Amino acid sequence: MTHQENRRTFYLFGLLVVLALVFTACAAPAAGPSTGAADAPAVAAPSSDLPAEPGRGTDGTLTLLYWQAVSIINPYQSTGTKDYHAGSLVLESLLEYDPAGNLIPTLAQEVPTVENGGVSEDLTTITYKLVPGVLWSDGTPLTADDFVFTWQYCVTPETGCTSGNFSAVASVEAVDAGTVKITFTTPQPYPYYAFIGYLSPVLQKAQFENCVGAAAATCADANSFPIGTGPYKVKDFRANDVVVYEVNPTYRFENQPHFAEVVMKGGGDAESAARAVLETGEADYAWNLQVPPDILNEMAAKGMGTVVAAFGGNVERILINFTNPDPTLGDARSEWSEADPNPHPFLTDPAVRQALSMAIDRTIIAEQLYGAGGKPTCNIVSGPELYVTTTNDGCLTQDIAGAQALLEGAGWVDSNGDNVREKDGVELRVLYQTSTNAVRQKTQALIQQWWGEIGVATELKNIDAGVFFGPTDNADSLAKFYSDVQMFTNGNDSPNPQAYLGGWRCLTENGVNIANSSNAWGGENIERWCNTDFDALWGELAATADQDARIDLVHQLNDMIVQDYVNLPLVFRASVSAHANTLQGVELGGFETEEWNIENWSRAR
Amino acid sequence: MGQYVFRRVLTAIPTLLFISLIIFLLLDLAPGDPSANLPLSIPQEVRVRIRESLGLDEPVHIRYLKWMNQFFIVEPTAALEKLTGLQIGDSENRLRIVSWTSRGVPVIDLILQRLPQTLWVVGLSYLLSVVIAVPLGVLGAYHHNGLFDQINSVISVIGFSLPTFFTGLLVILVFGVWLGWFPTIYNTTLVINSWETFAQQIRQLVLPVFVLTFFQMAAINRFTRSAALENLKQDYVRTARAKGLNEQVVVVRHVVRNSLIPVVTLVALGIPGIFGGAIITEQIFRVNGLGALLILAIQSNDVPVVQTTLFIFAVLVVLFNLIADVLYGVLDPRIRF
Repeated sequence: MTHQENRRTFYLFGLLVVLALVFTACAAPAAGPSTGAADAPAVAAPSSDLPAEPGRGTDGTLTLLYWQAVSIINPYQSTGTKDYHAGSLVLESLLEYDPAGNLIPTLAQEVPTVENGGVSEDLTTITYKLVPGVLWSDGTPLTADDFVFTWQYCVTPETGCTSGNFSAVASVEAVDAGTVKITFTTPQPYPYYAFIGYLSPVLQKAQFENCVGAAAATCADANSFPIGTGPYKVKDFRANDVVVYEVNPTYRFENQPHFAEVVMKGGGDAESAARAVLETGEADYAWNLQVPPDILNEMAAKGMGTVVAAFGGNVERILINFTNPDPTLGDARSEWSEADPNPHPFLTDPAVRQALSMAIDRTIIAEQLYGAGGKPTCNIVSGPELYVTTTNDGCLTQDIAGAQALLEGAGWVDSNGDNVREKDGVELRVLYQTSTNAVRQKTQALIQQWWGEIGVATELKNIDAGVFFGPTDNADSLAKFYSDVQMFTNGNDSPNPQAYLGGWRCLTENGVNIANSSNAWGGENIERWCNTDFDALWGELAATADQDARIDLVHQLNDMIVQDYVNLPLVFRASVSAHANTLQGVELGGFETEEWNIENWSRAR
Repeated sequence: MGQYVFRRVLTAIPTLLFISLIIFLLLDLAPGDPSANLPLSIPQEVRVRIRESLGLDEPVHIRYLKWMNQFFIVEPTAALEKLTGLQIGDSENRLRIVSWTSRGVPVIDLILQRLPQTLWVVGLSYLLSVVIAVPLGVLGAYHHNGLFDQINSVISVIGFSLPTFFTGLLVILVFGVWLGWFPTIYNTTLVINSWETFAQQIRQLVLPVFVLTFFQMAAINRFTRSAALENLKQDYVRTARAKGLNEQVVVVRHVVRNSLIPVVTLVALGIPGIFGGAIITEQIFRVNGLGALLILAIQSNDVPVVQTTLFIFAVLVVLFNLIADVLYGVLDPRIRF
């Protein structure tokens, strides 16, 4: 290499270095290398600028991270939880649930009951008095007509309404401008569904009038910028990206909400959302952090934020198939009918089901795989608290030896030395299916090992969530249940577990409730478990209005399912979120959105 | 030339129709359902109602024809209307291609909403990688096997082999978490109206653009280098040197120009990719551009969005193929059609 070339090389090197520097340092000097929240793109005013007491819009910008981005702000047209959350900042209903699961009035003056005359003696009507003087964010008054309209909007089939809250409603009437009367098709001992909670808010008639029926699909503006009575209104919305809210000027509570602007930013993944709150301080709140517990704990240890959990009624459980899923049966596999219940060769033996339950260590699953997002449970109704029994808590202790003895006693022995028990030529071999999800596959692996220890051979299968939870015409859908056991999460999304428990009925007034070919696998009873005692007891619950009696009945129904090992409840699941320590007022309950009391949120002072 | 272009455009039409049919059928045959994300407690009849309201109960060929009509007639009319401000026909009740998850929002609007951030991030990094990689590649070839060439090669290989999800996390960890210099969340609502907001925009661009440039640069760099190497050995270079031209002129006028022919093709063919967004990088930095739109639509079974964006990408690929072929002729006068 000549001297000249050498020099040129160095010159070029210099150029490369400069380019690299330009790249990494471009604008850094402008703001200076500072760290933490003060550097974030959207931050609140520094705490020194805050007034002593939070007033309306005094606390700057609140940034919420939703890694599943918001698609639409009208809950009646949405198919995702994140959209319900986005709507709950704007739209309100008559009553909502506090974190303990109690009903509290929002747009209604009080919670109507039989005692205060709001609910008729025959339990077929409920009448709400509206809080006087409530205005929509456009300044027009809220009237009972808006409620009538919302009901009509949702029950028009072509609207494609995604809410089932009006299913028992015969009519909604405006008695006068401030009184809404709902009439039910049958007596409703628990009448609080229509216009209760975030799933069933009231829409403004003036805005949605032209969006009923097929036109609902062309109402981009109304669906993206709904007019509401809540603390905020939508200022900017980019579908599947970001929602920016500003204070609703007509909001009925003085001095609220405290944040002037709320940014609900979507995209990315759960882990980076957690990092932005717990490690970089770029956001104030991150929702639904499905992050491995050890990683989340490590982030939380930095001390910038707090991990919180909202427990609703969701339980991860294993469902037992009471019919025979043997593929050689062809279309008759897992098919149940009253004439031919097609019993499962060994899962109809209670001893086998009980042994499968006893072999599971629920605590390890909950602690290792769910962390803050789960508690071990033995109940199918694990929330709200008042409906939960403690009678089944024995299952929390794993008992391999007991399970082995139980199977031994029931005649299931391993006589041919293949480590799998058998009786009358039937081997305990199960196919265990669930959706594709890292936590579920780890749970499967643990349970496969424990069941192996008691002499049950387990074949694992996982199915894409879109198929498993998808239309029932697919052979791999959970309703078809072409396996011996399957696992997923279900639960009561209303604090009243009546409808949820009704899912285990065998026959209903509408016919067979068991998923089979006669109802295109639309039946709710996926286990194909038929117990007429249960049906009768549920009928009693559906006819009882007294709260204490209802609690007792729910306990009994729960125990029937759990003690017959129809389902093996594993983990009581929560939605895990994280908030910055500079944010105050977060109060989570599993039956409302996490922003249900956002008007009370403020900066720490 | 004109005749050639005309012929190419004509052959593109059946190609595109065929692609559209494939896209439509693939999505139609794939399992999945827009109501799959609903909570399990939503009754089956509500799900059926939703599917019906989305027009899913109609036969396949009807839906395909409807979609084609929307794509080639309804949407261009709507766009024309928007551009000119004229009213063409019954614009109120026009059935545009709308998203399923964001009911009522036209897919084209979603795409337009996302174009700015995609162009900022993916477009800028593409531009930067071309601007940086081409000179580096030529210099690497010129100093063949020298220290510079070796270092340049090592960096290229690293850039080429490190996936963006790794470099992305790495720079977030170093510059976002440890040093705290740059934001890790891209703010799409930022309006640039002052020097301060401009600086903010640059700051939020730094990490994603770096990650993408580092990756894209590598390929162009290697490509340019090998093209230049080949040219440097050619007789005409020796002739130029023998004429007494100085090295700068030899390299810039002769070698670079000739080496650019294959590079231009590579770059032109890469441009549709910009509009496709950078799915992983967009996801990591929450840029929420076109790539993120597509992946989210796939996850939530938002079929109209997936169909339309994929088809637009297909149109762009066909278009830029044509442009690359035409550019060949412009750069190299020997090539005639």
